[in-house]
Amino acid sequence: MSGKKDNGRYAVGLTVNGARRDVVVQAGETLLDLLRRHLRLTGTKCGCEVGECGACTVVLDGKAVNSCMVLAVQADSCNVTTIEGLADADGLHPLQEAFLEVGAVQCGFCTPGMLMSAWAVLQENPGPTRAEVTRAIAGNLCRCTGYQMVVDAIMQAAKKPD
Amino acid sequence: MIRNVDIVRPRDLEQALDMRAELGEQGLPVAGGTDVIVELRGQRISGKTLVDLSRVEALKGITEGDDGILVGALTTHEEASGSALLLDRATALAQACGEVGSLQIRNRGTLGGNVANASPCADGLTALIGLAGIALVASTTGEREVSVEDLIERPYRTGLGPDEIIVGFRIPRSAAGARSHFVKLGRRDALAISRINAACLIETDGATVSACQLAVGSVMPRTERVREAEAAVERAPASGETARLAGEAVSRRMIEVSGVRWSTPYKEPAVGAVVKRAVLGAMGLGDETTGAGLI
Repeated sequence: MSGKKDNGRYAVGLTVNGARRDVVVQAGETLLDLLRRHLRLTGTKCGCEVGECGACTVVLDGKAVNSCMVLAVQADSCNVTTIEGLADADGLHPLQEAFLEVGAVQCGFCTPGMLMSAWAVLQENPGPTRAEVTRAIAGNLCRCTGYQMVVDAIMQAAKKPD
Repeated sequence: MIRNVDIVRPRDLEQALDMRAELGEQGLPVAGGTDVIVELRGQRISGKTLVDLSRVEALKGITEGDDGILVGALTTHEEASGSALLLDRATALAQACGEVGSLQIRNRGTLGGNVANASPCADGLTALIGLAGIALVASTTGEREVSVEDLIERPYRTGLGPDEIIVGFRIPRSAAGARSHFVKLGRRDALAISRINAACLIETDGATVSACQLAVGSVMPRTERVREAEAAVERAPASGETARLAGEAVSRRMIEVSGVRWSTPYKEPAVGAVVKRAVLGAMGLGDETTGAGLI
């Protein structure tokens, strides 16, 4: 439960990549600020800050969202997965491996957000069509790859067991 | 980090209304934040106390009542676009919500926010007006109902009082066999703000249109029902020619309201085509341009 503290600060408790985190934030801080500044999880990128580019995409209670447009206090009691939560002790997530194998990464700035959108769609729909994948990543801008390799990688990962 | 802002987080509707009444003009409701946060960041809004409605359960859910479908104000665009009830009974609204922004935006942005923001390009708003939707509005002094069309006063301005909150929307029950259809034209498929959008509901009696509701957005300062076009369709045969006449009537209305502009040579036929597609879809004759077929 988010509680107000002195000087306009709020206590927020949430689960990030499976671990409970307690953070004190200001009213005007976003979930992106919470992740990058407070928790030093800088894999999530700060791009346009107006919901156009998707570089800040994380998965909030199972849904892909732009973390730059979620107020940090609104994430109280929520479950957040970021790019840092994809790989585990056994190594990279199949999506990450597929991105590398297919060459879906160039400059890399969009990649964390792209992977989180891809992860979210595969959680809901493990066998998506190419059109469904394209629609799911429509909110993630990439100025390098032309998207084809990104979609190829997601389709390849969807075929592998998680 | 957004500066010069505070936030309160009511737990239920009663608390939300109390906070709204107490804060008055100082307060600004926020739900998904997809419009409000952009405005705050651009400093077009400043010094406000946000009233975060996201925990208010009474504003959630899509249900069917005796007098129509009730859609909670906190319903996200993604929830609306996937709702079996809306897809079946208020198709245009589900279609419109599926066209908004990107998945990330649809997962956060709410229908209540779409209406309260009152953008002339809002997709959900056009569908709600085309379906003759009623906004259910509450304050500490009571509740009132107002048509969504009448709630919008001018671009980005509604008739909501500083103590009021949109609780949800009621979409009146339509006759058995009535259909609705929404069409949007943007510069590209994804993340494109509507240049033109239209929502149409049609009831037919045999091969004749018995009732028509048609709303058009993005082309006039206010999204509105175009009564001249509705009149051109009612009691006419359900046909492509009738749909074309509706498009022409909307184009004329657009020029009457907005005047002739640099974009008119493009918009006049484009508006006609978008409206024609919306009307054809609502007639059950298919959306010829997209080939989407019967809806």
